[in-house]
Amino acid sequence: MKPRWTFWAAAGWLAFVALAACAGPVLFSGAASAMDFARVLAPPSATHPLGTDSLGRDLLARIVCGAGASIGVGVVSVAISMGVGVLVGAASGYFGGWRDRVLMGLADVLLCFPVLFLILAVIAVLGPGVWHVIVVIGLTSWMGTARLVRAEIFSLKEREFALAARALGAGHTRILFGHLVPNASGPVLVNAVLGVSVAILLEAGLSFLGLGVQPPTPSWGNLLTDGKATLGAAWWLVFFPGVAIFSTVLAANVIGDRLRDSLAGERHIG
Amino acid sequence: MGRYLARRIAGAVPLLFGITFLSFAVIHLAPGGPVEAKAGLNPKMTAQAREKLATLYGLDKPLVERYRAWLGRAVRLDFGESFADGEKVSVKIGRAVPVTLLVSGLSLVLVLLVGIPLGVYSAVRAGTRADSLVSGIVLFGFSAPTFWIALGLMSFFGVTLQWLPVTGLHSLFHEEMAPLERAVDLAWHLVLPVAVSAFAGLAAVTRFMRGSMLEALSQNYVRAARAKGLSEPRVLYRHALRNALLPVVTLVGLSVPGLLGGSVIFESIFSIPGMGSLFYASVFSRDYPVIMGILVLGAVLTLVGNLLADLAYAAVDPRIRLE
Amino acid sequence: MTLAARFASAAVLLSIFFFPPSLRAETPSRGDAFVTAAIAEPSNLLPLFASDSASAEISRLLFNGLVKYDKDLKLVGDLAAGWDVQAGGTVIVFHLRKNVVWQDGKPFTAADVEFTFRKLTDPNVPTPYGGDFEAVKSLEVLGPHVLRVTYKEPFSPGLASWSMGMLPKHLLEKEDLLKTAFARRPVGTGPYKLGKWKTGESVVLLANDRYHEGRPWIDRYVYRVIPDQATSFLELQTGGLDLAGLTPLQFRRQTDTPFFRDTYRKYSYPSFSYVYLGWNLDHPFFSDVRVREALDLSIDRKEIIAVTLLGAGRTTTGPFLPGTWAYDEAVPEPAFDPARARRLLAEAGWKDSDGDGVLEKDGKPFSFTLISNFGNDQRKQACEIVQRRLADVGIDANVRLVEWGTFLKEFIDKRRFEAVCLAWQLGRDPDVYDIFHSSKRAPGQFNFVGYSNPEVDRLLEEGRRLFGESERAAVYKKAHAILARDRPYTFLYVPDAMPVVHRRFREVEKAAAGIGHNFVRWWVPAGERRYRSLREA
Repeated sequence: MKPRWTFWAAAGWLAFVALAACAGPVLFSGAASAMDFARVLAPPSATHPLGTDSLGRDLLARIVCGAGASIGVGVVSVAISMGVGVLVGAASGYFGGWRDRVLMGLADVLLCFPVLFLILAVIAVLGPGVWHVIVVIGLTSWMGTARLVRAEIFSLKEREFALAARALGAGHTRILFGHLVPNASGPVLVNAVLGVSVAILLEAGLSFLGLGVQPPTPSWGNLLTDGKATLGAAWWLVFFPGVAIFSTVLAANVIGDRLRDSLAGERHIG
Repeated sequence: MGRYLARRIAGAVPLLFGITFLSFAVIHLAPGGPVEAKAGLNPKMTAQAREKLATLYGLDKPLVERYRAWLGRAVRLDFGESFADGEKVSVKIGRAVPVTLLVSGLSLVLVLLVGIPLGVYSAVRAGTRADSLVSGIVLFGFSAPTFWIALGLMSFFGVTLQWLPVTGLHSLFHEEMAPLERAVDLAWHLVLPVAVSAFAGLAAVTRFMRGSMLEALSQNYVRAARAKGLSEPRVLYRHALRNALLPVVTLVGLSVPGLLGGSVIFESIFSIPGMGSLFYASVFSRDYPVIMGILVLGAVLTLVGNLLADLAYAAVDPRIRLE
Repeated sequence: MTLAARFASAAVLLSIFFFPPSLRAETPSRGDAFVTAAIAEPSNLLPLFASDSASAEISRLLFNGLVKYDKDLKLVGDLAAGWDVQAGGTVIVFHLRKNVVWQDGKPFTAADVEFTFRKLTDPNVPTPYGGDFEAVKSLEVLGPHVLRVTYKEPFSPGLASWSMGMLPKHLLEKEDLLKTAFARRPVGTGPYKLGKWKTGESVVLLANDRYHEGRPWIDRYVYRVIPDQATSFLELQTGGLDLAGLTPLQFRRQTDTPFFRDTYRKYSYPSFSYVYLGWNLDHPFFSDVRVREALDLSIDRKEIIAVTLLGAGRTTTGPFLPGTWAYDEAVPEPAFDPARARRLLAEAGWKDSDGDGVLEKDGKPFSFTLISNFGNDQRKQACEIVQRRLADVGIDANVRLVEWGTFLKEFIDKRRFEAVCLAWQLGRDPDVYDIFHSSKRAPGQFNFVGYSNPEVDRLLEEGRRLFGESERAAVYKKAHAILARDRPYTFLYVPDAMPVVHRRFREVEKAAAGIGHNFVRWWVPAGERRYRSLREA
């Protein structure tokens, strides 16, 4: 097994980020939007530990506030996609037959979908807002989880405990949600943790294209994109948001990895 | 097996209909339009000119009729002409595909060449600091935003050291170079994009290989081989590796259809005129024929990929029955 | 001659002998290539359809119009040797040059002009430039090199509209302009002809030996497509580009390295555009002129220029380029007076009755959305600064950035906006009829703020009818003063254009029209060339 300190470091960082995500927008939004025209594009110093941006706003405050948007996008969209994915995958794997074909067909359709367009359409019609991005990402990334759950349920439903439950007269829902899904939850959880990291990277990518969280609300993605415009003149504007994204994604991956390793161990025994 | 295949292919047809109709609808109902994209805020553009353009693009007809017209041509593999410059959509896509394939293909080869040995090494040295180091490096590539890494490397290798060209796939006037010079020029330009792309994809293969190898190494036959007194390298490569390689190769094989996707961010940063750039440009200028062409291509590839995935899972795991 | 004078002339003669060759008067010679880049790809090189900036730039090198603007922004003949304005401005007779040939060798004649005109006014051809030619009553060819254009009424911007590129009748007569292969293999009269067009990558133009002003010295013109701004700056730093526009930050802070000073020359001059805030005049908040004046006074434009442009711009008070003949310098510069702004708002009935920092009137808070489009960092920052300044006087402005296609169709064309932050590209002719005349307020037209002032209407109509620059100047200056008072827009600033050009090019001259006006005369001495020259034909 890998050394334990990586796991605890990752967990510690994620806890800190989660705290920043909740407290940041509440405590630091003033500092994040205060413009100091005397100190535009200032390098890191005592008063501004991470430097300032092109409007003189403190980068540290903006990164802390940005955590809220980025983590929010990551966690909530994953929650949505997990929820939908588990439901669809469970139904598909358990019932099989035409229901399976229809649901997987739907999954295939959505896989080929122009997510970019959907985001454009939703943003323009319903107005701007991080929520619309979240919902769209959530509703277009459940397919992987669904397939995973479906495969698990397929193999699990013929196992002894399931057969026993059926013999005892348990109803479908009870078998599904009482027994099968919890046993399949290991890989799903791993997927969820990894999904958060993917969602954060996705938000950064969307911001690059101008479709992520809209300024002046900071998010790590749009901070990075703004920093790109000043590349060469203000390295801190590109470096620190990138480090924030990278560390969080890395931490999530380490935790996900550890989860997967320990689950794999369990399943071999079970 | 044959029946299963036939059923899947038959089932794919209505699926394609569904995908194309849904995409068509969403695209055309999304706000903005090709006329506005062309007209911009040009005060000289008269209302009549706009109407003319709208008629030309068929925007005055109802959605279902437009879809039927498009479908009629699409089944004959005629995807129409681009709104932007009138060029045939198939020509446009045909020009972008080799570019994207070249970069993604080379990147995949590099990922395999580096990832598989790294994965084996990590598995053999599991738990040690070497293992963590490899994991760390590989995860870095996966966790950092691609354009961040790309810009950093371009700045360093392109500007500071001036070892590598910064953008594009060719130097200027490369047609005038001798074939050998041209090949070298292309190779030189490919170094950064392929390296960045591979770095990002390394994590998946390395970790999967590691996991697969670890699983193989814990199997009984490995213990038996060791008990028989076979040398360690022989145990590793003749026995464990061959079995561990199968799932990895399957995974890689399944990602081949996705090679054609092309990342718009990646291509935008490197100025590579591939599928990603084409899709992005056509989305923002509402070039509907090109968008539909790319989507159909993507849909077909995804369906093929799914079929291969299902076949592969069934082959590998006997518990899954193909119905 | 005195002894001193003889001595002096001998010294001069000797110095010419002994001075190193590079310091002697240099004579231009052919060769080398010029490389520039842009974010977008050209879509259609036909001048009738070239509406995006990439297509327009290349099209101008491939085709000529009858007239063009010289370096001092005066209209001079291009394919026309001269013209007469007759009958009080309703008739223009053009005399065309006789030595012009198309790039395929055929001569250019008035028949080509007539053909181009027919296509411009053909209802089946969706050209964005048709609007200017609607005012023409008829065009008659009087001879192979003379033609007479008759307008329905005097229309001075019409003269400038003849800078439209001319199309060859003999090649396009039987073609459908929208589907013709000519669009990708154009043949014009211009200084360059199309060499190779690699879609998505680059367009290479070759010098035209038969150009009527003389073959350009630079053999090749290369237009590269580089979608990302950060990347094109990196290319500049490796010397891979010969011309690029810089952002204010790059201009001020990133180009003072020895490499840059040795390799490039920086230029800076006011660009032909202005950035403004447009207020929807049908909206109850903005229909009161006192409120608009208060909004004007709350915003410190000098601060915006200093912070977002790093000083590379200037304030403006009207819809013309400061320093040109239509701009009224007497209109006072905008003031920054938040105290007075608050008083005006109070007069107009806005009070903060509940102490939350936001003004209210009739129970409604003064809160609105300011929209702008993606892709322009300076304007985005300007909006954020405006938001902050308005918050200081109790106005709650939300900034929202929208993607361009959506922005135009859903917000501008349908008038579904409260306030916008946009920019206008200024034409060389000051006619702003399409933007401020009350007849242009319909959906899809460009007086989208809904401005209507009969006096301004009258002035704009008159400005179009007069031909003399001084008479038109008087009219436009009056309109300028009224617009500054009525404030349908809050005019923010005119940004500077900041191109850099590689040092090896000679004859680069900054003038009122910028630096590109004499591109055909640029050249590179043999010892400094970077690219292989074309072999002599």
